[in-house]
Amino acid sequence: MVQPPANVELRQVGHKLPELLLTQEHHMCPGCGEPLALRGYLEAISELGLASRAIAVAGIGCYTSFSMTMDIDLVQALHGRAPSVATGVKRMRPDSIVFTIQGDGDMVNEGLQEVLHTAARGENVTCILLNNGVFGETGGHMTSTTVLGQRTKSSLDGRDAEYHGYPILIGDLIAQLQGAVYVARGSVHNAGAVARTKRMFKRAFEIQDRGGGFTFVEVLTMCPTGWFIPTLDGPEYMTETLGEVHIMGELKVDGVVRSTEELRAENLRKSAEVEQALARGGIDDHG
Amino acid sequence: MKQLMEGSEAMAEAAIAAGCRFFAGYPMTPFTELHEHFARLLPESGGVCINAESELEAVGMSWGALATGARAATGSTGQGLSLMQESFSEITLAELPLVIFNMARGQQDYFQSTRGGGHGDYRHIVLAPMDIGEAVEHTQLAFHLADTWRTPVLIYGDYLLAHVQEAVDVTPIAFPPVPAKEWAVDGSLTGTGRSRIVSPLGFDKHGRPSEGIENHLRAIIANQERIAAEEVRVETGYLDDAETVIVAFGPPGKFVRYVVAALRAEGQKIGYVRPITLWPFPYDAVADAAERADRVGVFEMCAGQMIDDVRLGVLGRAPVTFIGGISTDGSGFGVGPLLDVEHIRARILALHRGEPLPPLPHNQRQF
Amino acid sequence: MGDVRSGLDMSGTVTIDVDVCKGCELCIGACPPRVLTMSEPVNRLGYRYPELASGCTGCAACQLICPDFVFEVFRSPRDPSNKSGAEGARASSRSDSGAWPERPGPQGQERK
Repeated sequence: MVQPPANVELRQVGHKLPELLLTQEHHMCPGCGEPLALRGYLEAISELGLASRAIAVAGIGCYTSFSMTMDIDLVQALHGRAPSVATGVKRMRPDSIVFTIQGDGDMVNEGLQEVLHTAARGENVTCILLNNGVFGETGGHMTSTTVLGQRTKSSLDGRDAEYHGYPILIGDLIAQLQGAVYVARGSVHNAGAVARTKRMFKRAFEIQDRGGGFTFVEVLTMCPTGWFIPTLDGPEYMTETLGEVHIMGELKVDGVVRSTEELRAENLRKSAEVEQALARGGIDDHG
Repeated sequence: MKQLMEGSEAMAEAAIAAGCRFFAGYPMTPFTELHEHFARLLPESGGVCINAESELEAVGMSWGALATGARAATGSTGQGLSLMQESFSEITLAELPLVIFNMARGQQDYFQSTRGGGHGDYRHIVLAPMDIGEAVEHTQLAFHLADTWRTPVLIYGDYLLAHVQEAVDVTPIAFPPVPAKEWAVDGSLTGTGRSRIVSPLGFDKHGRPSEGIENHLRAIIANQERIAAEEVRVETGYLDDAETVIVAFGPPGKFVRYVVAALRAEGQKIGYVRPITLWPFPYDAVADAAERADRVGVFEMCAGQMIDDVRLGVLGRAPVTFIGGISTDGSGFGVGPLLDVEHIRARILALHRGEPLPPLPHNQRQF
Repeated sequence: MGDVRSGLDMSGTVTIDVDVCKGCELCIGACPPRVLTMSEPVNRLGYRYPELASGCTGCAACQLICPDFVFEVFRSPRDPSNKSGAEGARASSRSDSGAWPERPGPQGQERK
């Protein structure tokens, strides 16, 4: 790595790579949102000092290739089954920090009951959902979180409620369960959202660390390949489709469910704050 | 010291004596009582028993517990195990030492147990105890074999083993040491560059030589070949001059053994082979018996499944006849009237004398 | 590691590990001062990659939005222009605005 010129005193900001990655390279497509979520939870674990107790349980999806490159003790689970596997791990190793990584096809299609029951039992684990509303690994097919109107290879004219049924808002569903204490929906459509999502991960892991109960962090991630759009359009497409239905924010905090209206208002307020910040920084649009 | 105990309780006690620390299951007749005893006994011994919300989740939970290095088990009835088959395939490929209890409804799950209802080339060890005393031994042996070979071991039980009471001794059995579980995850190597992965996929962590899926699958099969060579268990009796050989397993095998002994006392030249491991199947013992006999009979409480393996063992050395049949109680869960010394005796004698088999008895209870 | 392009101005700079870039251009849209542009030449993977012009504030938006982890971000804390630029934006970010990354300290302090 060539360093910048030494004639100016420079301070490094952030890290190029999350500490808990064994290699920089990965097999995700250009513009994929999953590595951004990955950065969030890996850095959250490192920064909270939980690395030496962290065990991951991975499902099956594109992100499975990170099973080999995350420097984390890991159990590879079957499609849909990670929350149950995590339950077994946590019950035998209650002092460890156990988290699952699943996609929407894995969690909300194949393994819906697993995550619901794990939440209802109040297992002291953190379940992470990478939600792009599509089966990315198989090439862009409809999942249970695909929003109405969204075009996939199995909903060619867009998801039609009469023909395909309605999407499941999994975060909202889990928030209703008494066993879930913290439920958040992040997003990686811009740098601010990435940072906000990382804070959600931190809160979830902190709660687990003090034995607080089941925590859930959903992250909306771009899948330009599975959406059949240019990579650069990914963030905007996501906020206009998935993001309009799966509302970003902390859905349940300290066991209290927050309303969608509340979340929308909060997101507007945060956007305004962003605008203000941008104005003060003399920077262009970055909403 | 022997104690009078229901089979389900004896097996749960034996599992805990063998160091089992985790069990997850889903109630189903005739498996339910085994689960009940685990639910009572495991917490008392510092373990965990979860009433899982489905069989799919039960096997997943056990998978997670196994990955931490704990001795763990799951179980159900064949019907419930059908739901777990995907995981059994992959747990075998992940080389995890799962112990599975099948408290089966009769002997209809032979194919499921030995052929694997799941996908792929996998096999795993299947132990078929004939009574509760043997079930106590097999339960402990199962955990030992699972850890020794890093493979699932299934114990084929049934309604009788689950519900009959016998006086049994559940003292822990001393086995040779098993390999250390250096592969087990505890989080301690996270962030050290030496983190572990427990996976069925044949990939190691980045930077370490990975055998790849093809070599991984071949290594699994090589391990299975060693198991097949070393772990065959079988009981035989009266084979030296037997003209007729009867093959049967599990509690029906015990009935057959009793009937054959009685017929021997009457001077009939009949012997038996009782496979104790259904996989690996005792092909050599069957072949050896068939070599000297005029005919082979297979008694199973189902439409005839093990008979396929018997035929593979006999390989044309003698004619093989099925003398068992489907026989259940009115519920379909329990034991049918065919499992009776008089019926079994009549069928064995008919085969021995070259007479037609008597008709199958019907259970009297009809819904 | 291959060709690393860096730019430098008063308040911040980034290094760009162009060899692993997959050319998604998310950084282009994410960069507040619009100082990243895509190259004409392609890297070993066949992708165009971002190049830095002057005017970087070291805000780290590119780092946070990059799926391929190509950016290393540096800031010059003593530069007075830093105050009005990146530092100003940073101050307002502490209210959980959702727009700005957290600013971990220097690598040496952050890592064990």
